[in-house]
Amino acid sequence: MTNETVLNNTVSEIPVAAQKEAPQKRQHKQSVTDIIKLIVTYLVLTIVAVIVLLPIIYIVLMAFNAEKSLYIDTVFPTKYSFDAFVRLFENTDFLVWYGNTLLVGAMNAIGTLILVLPTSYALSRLRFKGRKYYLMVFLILQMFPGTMAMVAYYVLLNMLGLLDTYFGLVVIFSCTAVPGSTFMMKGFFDTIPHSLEEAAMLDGASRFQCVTKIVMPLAKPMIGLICLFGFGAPFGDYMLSKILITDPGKYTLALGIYQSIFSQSSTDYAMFAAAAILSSLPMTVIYMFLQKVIINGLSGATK
Amino acid sequence: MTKLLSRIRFDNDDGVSPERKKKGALMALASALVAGLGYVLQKSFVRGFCYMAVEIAFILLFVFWGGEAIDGFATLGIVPMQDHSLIMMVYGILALIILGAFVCFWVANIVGTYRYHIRITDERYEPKTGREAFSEWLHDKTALLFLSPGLIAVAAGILLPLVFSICIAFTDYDASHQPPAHVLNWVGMQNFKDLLVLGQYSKTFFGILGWTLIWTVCSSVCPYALGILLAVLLNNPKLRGRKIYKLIYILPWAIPAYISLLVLQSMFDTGYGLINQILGLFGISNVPWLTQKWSARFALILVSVWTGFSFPMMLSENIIKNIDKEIIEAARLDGASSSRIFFSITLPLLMFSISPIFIMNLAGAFNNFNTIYLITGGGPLNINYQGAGDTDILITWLFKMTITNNKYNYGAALSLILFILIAIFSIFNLRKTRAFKEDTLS
Repeated sequence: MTNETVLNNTVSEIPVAAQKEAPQKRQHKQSVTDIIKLIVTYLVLTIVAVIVLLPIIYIVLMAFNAEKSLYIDTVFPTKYSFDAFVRLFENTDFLVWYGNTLLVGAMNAIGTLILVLPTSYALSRLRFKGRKYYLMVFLILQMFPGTMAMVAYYVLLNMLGLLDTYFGLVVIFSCTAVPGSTFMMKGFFDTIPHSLEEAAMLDGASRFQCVTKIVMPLAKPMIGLICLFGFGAPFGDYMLSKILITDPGKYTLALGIYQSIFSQSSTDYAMFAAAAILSSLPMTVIYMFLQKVIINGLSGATK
Repeated sequence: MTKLLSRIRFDNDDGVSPERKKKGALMALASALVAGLGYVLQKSFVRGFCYMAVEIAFILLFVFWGGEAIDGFATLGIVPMQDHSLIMMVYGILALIILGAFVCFWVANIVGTYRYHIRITDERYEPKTGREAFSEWLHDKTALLFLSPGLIAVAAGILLPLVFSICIAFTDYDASHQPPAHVLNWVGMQNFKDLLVLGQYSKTFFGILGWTLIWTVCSSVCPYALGILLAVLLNNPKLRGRKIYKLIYILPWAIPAYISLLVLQSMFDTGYGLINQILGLFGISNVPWLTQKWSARFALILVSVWTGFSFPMMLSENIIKNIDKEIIEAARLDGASSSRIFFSITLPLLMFSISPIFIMNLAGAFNNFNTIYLITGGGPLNINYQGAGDTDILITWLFKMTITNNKYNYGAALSLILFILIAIFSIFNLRKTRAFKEDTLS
């Protein structure tokens, strides 16, 4: 800053050649620091990238490891084969668990949507007494993990005869997802301008038509997102499923992998690696493809 | 309190003659005696008889079921094998909820009768046909109708279990008192005393609380710091291959956390885990990652960074991209250095947008069951603790207490303490966030 003012003040006294030189010098100096900065940037970014990739590459290599054990003498395995995958399908109920998880996920996505859509619409569009308190209650309840009331869940589902059923599991998954998802959905509805509906209503559309023809189509990205989260819930939950599902035939992926494969991973690590890859593949691919939509949705909810 | 009073004082009371008020109060009194009677006296028969039907249904329900249920809730059963305390408790809670709902209905009915009288005696009042009145009433209740799926889900799926666990917190429900073989007893504040004040348990509680706080802060701040740093570095216009870097950085977020945690857990194995194998190449061998107190804690925070930095990185990248270029240009023209621009413009704007999400993340970290449970399982075991290890946080201790040690009452008491801690924290913070402030009743 001071340099520049000095330059400006004395500009008339400096010969023309010098005037041209000065900015060049500065540019040159800047580019050196820029290059150093760039190198440091590359260095940091690459180191982090390597650290991120390391476990992923490791688990992929381990899945194709011809030996079963984690306890190999080299850092990475030396012989590769498909044996682990074959063992996975032959010795465990991996496909059954997979099917169960997909089923629970689909049920949960639909259930969550049914609970969330009307409620969030009301919170976004309708004005009624105590609306702010509903919002507040939802905001607070959103932070509660199911772990806190697990004994209650067990006893209640036991009373209703829903223990060891997917319906019971889905009820709890979707009910606990309601506050958070409602908030996201409400945030998205808020971004859809009211004027669209008002215009349609002036043209004689009913409120119901407004909802089905205007609001819902526009809210598709967020509806998809809530479905996705609902669908993904059983893939990532271990604890609730463990408490509520005891029949090995009804295990979800998380449960099956932990109970039957990971607990034996000291003897057959390759099989665990294979299971890990296969079970995380669908969600990973979906998330990678939809990252922009998801990030916008999540950040929009709190804006 | 004044808010409440102002709500009870009836609206548009000014300019109403005392006679009308008196008559209205009389009608309200009639409704107080028998719900809906005031409406019937004012010839609003449909509504009046509906209200009466509700009251009759309620009285019948309580004569045949509710009274007994509440009594059962108070005693929690007397005869073992015949009285199931937990079931009695649930029915008792339901009966109390119904009772509460009826009281609300009753009060609303009294207030409504009074208002109705004031309204129909107004000279500008035009009587409506039954159908009109009904459609108007329905219109008033649309919001409630729409809200109901979510409200019912929250009430049945979150609040009822929560109230139920709160009740368990005041009983002696544990491994040696399991219904129906034993009946439970109310023990007052005893469980809380045991947890917070007395001997072994309180020592464990405060020890774990301390680490929980450290964990909450570290496992939120570190990933966010790294995420923001990477986002800023990625923002360098001269950088090539930005897309590839971003693609790699998103992976930890896209892979289900459950799986990556299991994989990372095995990587920390002392003898053959990948991390020690790589460290071995540099001459550092057999670091006991998960079996010593502080190294296990350090490992957990490393894991939280690995699994958690992607999301803040993506967020901050988005935010930085959306910062008005003109502001930065203006600052540069004024001669601000790029570091000055970063610290005075980019960072504050970033913090402002990211803080609500960060606060939510804090609550998530406080309850991050999966990371602790799957990586260390709370270990290494601490002999001074009651059934807990050095890396246990409150939520994993709660889980162990309930599932492993069958101390259901302590577990419930602990969950109530957690509930209060989180509620205080979140109310305090959420009142400040923009999401709430901007959302006025416009």
